[in-house]
Amino acid sequence: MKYAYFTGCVAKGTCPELHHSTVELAKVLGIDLWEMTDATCCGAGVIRDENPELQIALNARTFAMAEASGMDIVNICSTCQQNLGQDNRAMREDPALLERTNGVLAQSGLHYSGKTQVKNLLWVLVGDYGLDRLKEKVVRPLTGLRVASYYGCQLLRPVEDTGYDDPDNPTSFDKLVEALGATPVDYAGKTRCCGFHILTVNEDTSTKMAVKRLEEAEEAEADIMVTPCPLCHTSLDAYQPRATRMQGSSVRMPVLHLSQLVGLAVGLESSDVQLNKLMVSPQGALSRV
Amino acid sequence: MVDSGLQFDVLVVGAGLAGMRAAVAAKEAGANVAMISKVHPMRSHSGAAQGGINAAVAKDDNWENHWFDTVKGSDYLADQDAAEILARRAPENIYELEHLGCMFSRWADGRIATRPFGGAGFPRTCFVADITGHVILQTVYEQVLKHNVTVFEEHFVPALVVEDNVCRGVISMDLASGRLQAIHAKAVVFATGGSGRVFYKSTNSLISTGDGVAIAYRAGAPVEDMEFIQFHPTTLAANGVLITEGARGEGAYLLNAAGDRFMFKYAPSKGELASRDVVARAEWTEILEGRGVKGCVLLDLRHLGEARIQERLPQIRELAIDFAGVDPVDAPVPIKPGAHYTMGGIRVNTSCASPIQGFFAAGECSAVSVHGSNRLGGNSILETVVFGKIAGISAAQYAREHDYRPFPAGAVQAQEDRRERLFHTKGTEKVATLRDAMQAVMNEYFHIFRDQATMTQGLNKVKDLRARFKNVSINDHTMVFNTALTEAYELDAMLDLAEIIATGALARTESRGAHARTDYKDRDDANWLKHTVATLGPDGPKLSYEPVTPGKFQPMERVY
Amino acid sequence: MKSTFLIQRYVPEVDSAPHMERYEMDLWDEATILDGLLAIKDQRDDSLAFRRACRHAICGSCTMVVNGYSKLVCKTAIASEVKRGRKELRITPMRTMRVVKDLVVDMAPFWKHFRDMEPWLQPDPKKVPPPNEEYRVTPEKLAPSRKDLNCIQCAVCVSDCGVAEVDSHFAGPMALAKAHRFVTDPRDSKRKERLQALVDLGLWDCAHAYNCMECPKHVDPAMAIADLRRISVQAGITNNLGARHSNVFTKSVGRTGRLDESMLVLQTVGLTNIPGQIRNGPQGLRMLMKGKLPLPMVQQERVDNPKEVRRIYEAVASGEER
Repeated sequence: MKYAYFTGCVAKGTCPELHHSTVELAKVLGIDLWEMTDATCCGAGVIRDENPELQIALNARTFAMAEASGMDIVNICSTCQQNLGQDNRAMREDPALLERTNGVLAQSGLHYSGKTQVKNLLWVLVGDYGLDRLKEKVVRPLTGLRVASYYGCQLLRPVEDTGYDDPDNPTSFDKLVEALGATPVDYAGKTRCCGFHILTVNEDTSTKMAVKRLEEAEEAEADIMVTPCPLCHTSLDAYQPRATRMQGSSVRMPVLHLSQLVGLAVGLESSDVQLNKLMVSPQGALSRV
Repeated sequence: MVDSGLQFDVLVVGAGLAGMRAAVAAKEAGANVAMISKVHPMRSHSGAAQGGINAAVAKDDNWENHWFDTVKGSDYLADQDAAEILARRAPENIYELEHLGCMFSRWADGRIATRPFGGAGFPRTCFVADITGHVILQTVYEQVLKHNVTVFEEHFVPALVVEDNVCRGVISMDLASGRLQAIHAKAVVFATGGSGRVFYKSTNSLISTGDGVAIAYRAGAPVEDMEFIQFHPTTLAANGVLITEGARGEGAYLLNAAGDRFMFKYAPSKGELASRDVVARAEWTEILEGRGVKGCVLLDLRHLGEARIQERLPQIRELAIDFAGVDPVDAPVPIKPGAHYTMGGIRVNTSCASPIQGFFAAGECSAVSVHGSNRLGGNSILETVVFGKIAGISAAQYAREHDYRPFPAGAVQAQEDRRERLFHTKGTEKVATLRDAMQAVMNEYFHIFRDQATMTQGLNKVKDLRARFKNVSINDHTMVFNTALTEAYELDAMLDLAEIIATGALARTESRGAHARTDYKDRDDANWLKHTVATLGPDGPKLSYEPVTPGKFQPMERVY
Repeated sequence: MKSTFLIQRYVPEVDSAPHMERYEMDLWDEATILDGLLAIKDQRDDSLAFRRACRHAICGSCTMVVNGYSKLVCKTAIASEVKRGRKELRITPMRTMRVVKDLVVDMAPFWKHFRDMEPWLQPDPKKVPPPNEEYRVTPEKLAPSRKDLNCIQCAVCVSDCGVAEVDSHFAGPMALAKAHRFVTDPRDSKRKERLQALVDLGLWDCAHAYNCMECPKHVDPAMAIADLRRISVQAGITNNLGARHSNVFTKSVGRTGRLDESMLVLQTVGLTNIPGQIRNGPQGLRMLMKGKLPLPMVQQERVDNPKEVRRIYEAVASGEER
């Protein structure tokens, strides 16, 4: 299994543990990752707010490079999934747009014909790799660990852009958690927003949202939350001390990256997945496993 | 109970298109106005109108042709002066709506587009895709906000207060608290909409229970031509939901089980675009004679193509998918006639004034009469804006020239008592049972084809149900948002209307427009070119008759 | 088809708090959730209070939360929930609004947000056509606002909006889509004023959760919000945190192909905004100590060919028709 690995910006910036654990996990699972070091930021919907065609052109360049390599794209961020997915679909549905965009790419010697598929790591594991195969790789079953799978929002909506699970009743992440031997927990916030995108613009509202998600997981007696998105992770983990203080909450909930959780289950050590970079330590919860 | 001390120059009951149009017009005329609505204005049933609004805006069209089509469509029962106003004022009202922001669909050159509609000699139905009522409702509501019109939202009106033939105001109940209060007004305008829920499987909203017509009748207002109920030709079998005439306007076919476009047998010239009563009868005949498909006929849009359907008819495409399990792009949609519109209503003149002083009415709850015994598609929304405006102006003028009159003693107490009775009757009847029975009776005995024996039986059943209402008890005795209570009030109103419809239908021994009798198959102008007028008598509706206002169009044989 | 309804009940005169009640129903296969509620009211308990009118998703009355997601219950088939593996239909009132009784909520704040948009056409008096003529508006000019017209103010979007859930000041997706309808109406003359007002009404507070894209009428408010942001930026309404953030972000990616996260925070707050920078100090320190704070510019990741990125920026800028 080979993929063009789209890291996104945050995994190479403020969430280095995500990139690190993904690479280590892929090695154990036997997935070949070609890191797209020339691929730009996906635009995050922010460049789209400024200039939709600019964001599309940047992503078209990424798709063209992947298409030339013959590999589908795997990403490790919900926002990347949504933005790459939406721009990909826009070009597929509007031939005039695709032509215009290829006009821009031509001077770089690139051309995109619309064939690249974009998949989040979660979809790759559950779909392409398969949960049965994953189960076989589990050497450290996470028995007894109550996990709140945090789907968040941009991984699921709009479903035409993300293309995988039912936004109203997603089950893939929970099934993966089960395959690792852990216990998925149902809770009110699992597909509701963490607030990351307005963290700089309206910190009060953003942290209110994050705290709500953490409290909802706590109310359902989860031991940890897991997320396939570094933006959600930043909001829920890196900002957890600040957010809880700002909102007067006493919630304490460790939050892992998807690749960290899977990595631990398939035998990686906590140093391999850089658990020490988490703001809220999961040691207590994990030691019970 | 507290007399709230509320008083207004003009009080409009009902905040759909006609009500909001009247309120804005009255406010612009300088009156102190308030509206009352049992739902938020944007939930009014006007929003469900789909296909369009008629006006002779096209260069090659002429408002007099619209006038004629309306009169012919009414099977000559419309008052020709009222129909003239409707047709003549239509274009200016369309432009006014457009200037207010209504986003009509356009031709390529930017002019307001028109589509063909039933019974029209020219394509003169202006439209917004197939959400015309919804968009016009939005536009008029925006004006209500702009003009800061006071709205008593989610207030139910159980009574109109009239004494000595002078209207004094209304009693209203605030749903949020259950508080009953008197609201004084110099002029009251009713714009309370239609009565489709009297029938089973109607296109109408659950709120279209004809409350305004019933309480006006109870207060002594004459009510006209209620026996004329329009059965819309294209409604979905599962729940009666409307599929716009605009589909046929865009070229859809009506097919029977053999795949024949049967309409040309009944309307050789207009086919699917004949007048609604003609189409409904044709469909029902096909179904009764065994050429239907599971009690329906088929509306075929496939040849229009997905692009056109998606552009011009997106809402009905979704309705067919959601409620009939059929995508009109790929398959014909099973449809059947369903109760849709009440041609009759509170009797008013062309200034929208009832014989009761200070009481006005506009829109579907009124009979001016522009529609006579059958309404053309596209004329209903038109009526709401044209006569809504007229009613607002008339009411404002009346208010300028008159003073408040006191409520008769005990008017509010009577409503308190009525509510207490509903709370504390240890009755055996339930609202839902009586309502379902009434709807079934009306559907079976007062449907598209009527006859003496059936209607006599039907009237007896209605009278029986009317009598049983006094044994209705409801379980919810709370004050806040008591919908069991409001549904009981609505049933009370509907039973009166059922009785009026049944009585009028039985008495009219001819076929005209939507009233088709198998025992009196022909139109009888010599004896029946007149309006049925019902007033409340000691034993139910008392019928009398009033002449139709004539005009330049002589009654002719009506063929399409 | 048998189904179990679990409905939140609350009668203020009787109950101290909301509670769930169970109703076992047996309805026809194609029945909608509204059909079920009407049957419960008719057959089991006439006091069950909920708003409803048209039954076909045009009046907007019947929004409720069904198994965690806001829906118009008149167009939600019971079978569709059963197909998702849900054994029960858990029905609770809309979010963000105070419960009045059972499933009825106080929608006054919702309508207020609507009103805050000044949602009526404000044309230039000099450009209004005579009374017997319409504005000439081609179908192309009407296209940008077409989806906004579909809105029936049902509040599904607001009820599911994560921002509206915690921030009552946020105008919300419905109101912003309504604003979009007027901003893109060629007959309206107050575009700039509207856009300016939107800054304080929450234009930049949308967090891109896209819950509102589940709109039952296909209004796609999130896209309307994105379009309003684009139009605002082009109209020069950039002196606000949201537009500044967006601008800094875009410029950052233009330099190196990747986002310089540290620089983004610094520049959005404002390099000369000392109090703002001090407020962020503790968080910055926390991240630095965890090795999660690349130094701005210096430790910024670059793509292999930043020149190509800059070329794309120039090509798109020069090719702009808007």
